[in-house]
Amino acid sequence: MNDTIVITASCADVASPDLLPAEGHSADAPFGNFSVFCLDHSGFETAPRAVRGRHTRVSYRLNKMIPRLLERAGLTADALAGPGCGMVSGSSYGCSQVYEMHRRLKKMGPRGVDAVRFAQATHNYPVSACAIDYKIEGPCLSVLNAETAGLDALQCAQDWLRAGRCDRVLVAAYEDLAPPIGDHLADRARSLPKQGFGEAMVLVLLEKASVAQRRDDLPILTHVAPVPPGGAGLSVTSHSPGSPGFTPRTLEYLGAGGLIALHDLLNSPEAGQRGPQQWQISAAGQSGSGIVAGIGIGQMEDCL
Amino acid sequence: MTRSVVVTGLGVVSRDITCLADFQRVLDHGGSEPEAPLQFDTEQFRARRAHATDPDATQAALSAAIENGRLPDLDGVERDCAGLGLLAALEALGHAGLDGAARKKMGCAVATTSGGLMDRYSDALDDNRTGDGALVTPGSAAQVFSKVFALNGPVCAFSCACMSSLGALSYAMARVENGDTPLMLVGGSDRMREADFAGFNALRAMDRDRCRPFDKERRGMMIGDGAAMLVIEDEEHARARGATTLARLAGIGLSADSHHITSPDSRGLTRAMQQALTMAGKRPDEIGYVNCHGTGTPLNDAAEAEALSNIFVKDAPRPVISSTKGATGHLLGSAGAIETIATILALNAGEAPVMGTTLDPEDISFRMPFPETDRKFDGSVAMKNSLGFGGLNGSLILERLTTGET
Repeated sequence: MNDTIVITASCADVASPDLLPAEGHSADAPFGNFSVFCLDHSGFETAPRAVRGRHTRVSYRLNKMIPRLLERAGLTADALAGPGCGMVSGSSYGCSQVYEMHRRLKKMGPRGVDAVRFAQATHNYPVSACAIDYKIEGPCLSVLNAETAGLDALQCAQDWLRAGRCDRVLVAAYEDLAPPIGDHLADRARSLPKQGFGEAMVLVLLEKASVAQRRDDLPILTHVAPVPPGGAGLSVTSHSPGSPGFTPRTLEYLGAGGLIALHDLLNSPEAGQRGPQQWQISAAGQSGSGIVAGIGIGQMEDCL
Repeated sequence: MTRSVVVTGLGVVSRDITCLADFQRVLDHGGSEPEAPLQFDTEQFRARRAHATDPDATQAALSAAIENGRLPDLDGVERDCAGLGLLAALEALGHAGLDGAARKKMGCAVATTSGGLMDRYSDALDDNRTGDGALVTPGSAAQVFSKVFALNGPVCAFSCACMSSLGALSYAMARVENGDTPLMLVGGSDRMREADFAGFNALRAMDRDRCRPFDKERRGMMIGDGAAMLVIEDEEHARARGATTLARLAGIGLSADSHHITSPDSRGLTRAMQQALTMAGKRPDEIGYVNCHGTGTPLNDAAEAEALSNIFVKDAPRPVISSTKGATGHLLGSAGAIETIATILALNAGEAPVMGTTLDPEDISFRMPFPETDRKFDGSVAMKNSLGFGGLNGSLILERLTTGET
């Protein structure tokens, strides 16, 4: 019998219009003159040179987010060390560093591409760098897959846990909207009325219930499964009678959207209501194919 | 209970290779000399040669496939990176005997290093435009295949450096094993990019002459490009429709070195191989052949030889090992897929692909298939290993199906 998979903790950095000063908005244009909202990267930009040389802005944020997640999970970094822990990321556009390397090559020729920058210009660099820093020796992969990427990453983690490849998995989803991706999305936003894009990073810890050290009533990942074409965008639905429902954020977070919805749901008043609840988060990609994640809340006792 | 996964179709496109028969010739006789790629000027680089496809030939093959109705119109479709994959997918789908109706159940998983976006961005830079919608997402090849072949199953793309293909295979296997879909189109598609060429030059990881895996004088890799696609299928589904099964995908192992971004650690690959064997329910002495990652760089081949020695102990029967990168070049994100196909062909022939560029082999106590040596191996089980930047490892166990099994 499969071990129950629990969602032990999550944390997120999400760029949002709410974080802008009030004068940035107007009543008839929800996002004012903005179409692409970025995270504050000053921590990375002011970090010591050696740290900036070692990291990209995505790997830096992910590296800093892991201790926050561990604290919420009641774990120490030792819990990640070894082959029992895996890591997977999902993103639509991947790391801007890849495009930056191409820009430097065009501008400066071969001397614009050095060994370190080239090694960092892989979409798996954030998970690889964190695997090295936290001694993670289990499976590590990076998914790139439009709007479903975060939930695809969640599915990979589910596959690994159910197959017994590892006991816990860090699942990250992010969008890195540095140029040229930000420029490209600003252009897309202009052609789609009132659509804005946001930069984000979300990190979720999945564990087999049998190894989870937190024994409180944790949410359960009941299933992640593909669904046939037909759906559109991102939606969160409740399968519990009388549930008040839950509305995801209006900004487009692309591949990170699914895990942001998961994080927001688990931290919402709706999730805190009494009694067992069953939720579904669905996302559909450009091809129309979709994916759905089932979340059970208040059901832990039945599973142990 | 999980379902058994078999391979029922193969397709390959690379330099000098437009179909499986071409690929078999390259595996039997070794590839031709690498040359300066046509895609960009290599004069400014230290190492200047590659196993690169001819982009005009790729576009001509795509146009011919559209003209004769094998592909729909590709207006608006990224044809450079995904185009190579479309040609390989056409062969794989035909090989598997899957028509349009059967494909509706099929999903798709594609490996690439950077996919379409970097290529489009490069073109956009040339034209001094970057914000005009010219960009497509790096995982777009999977979306392209899904749209072009009208696949209604799960779609996903993986970019995990040079082990991307085994990442995609692990996902595709899980979809079939779990019963999400009975059919997956899976593989890798990567085109020759100046940025990769510049990067590996900067790392001093490229040989100026030939890639010579496991040679005492090896100096590095030789980049190649191309695509390789496989149709994988629920064994019961394959049996029910009377498909020819080429191999069973018995198990796959995944691990991270947790060591260094560019320098591999043998313990990581050892763990991936152990996990693959466990998942497949096989012992090391059952493995007859190992298709190595074998890039021909001093560090990779040394780490890989050490990992192989950790698994295949000296006092037990050891498999024949080889690397096909001397013949095909290193196809980066597609490498694991084309080498999985090489492994399947070897498994069915009982003969390992020749290592024609390795002239003075290092003594690592594993038999290797050189032009004048016996290339045959015993057994019906083989292993395919891939390593990637960042210390990512994958190991796949394949099994030849005995007559009467299907």
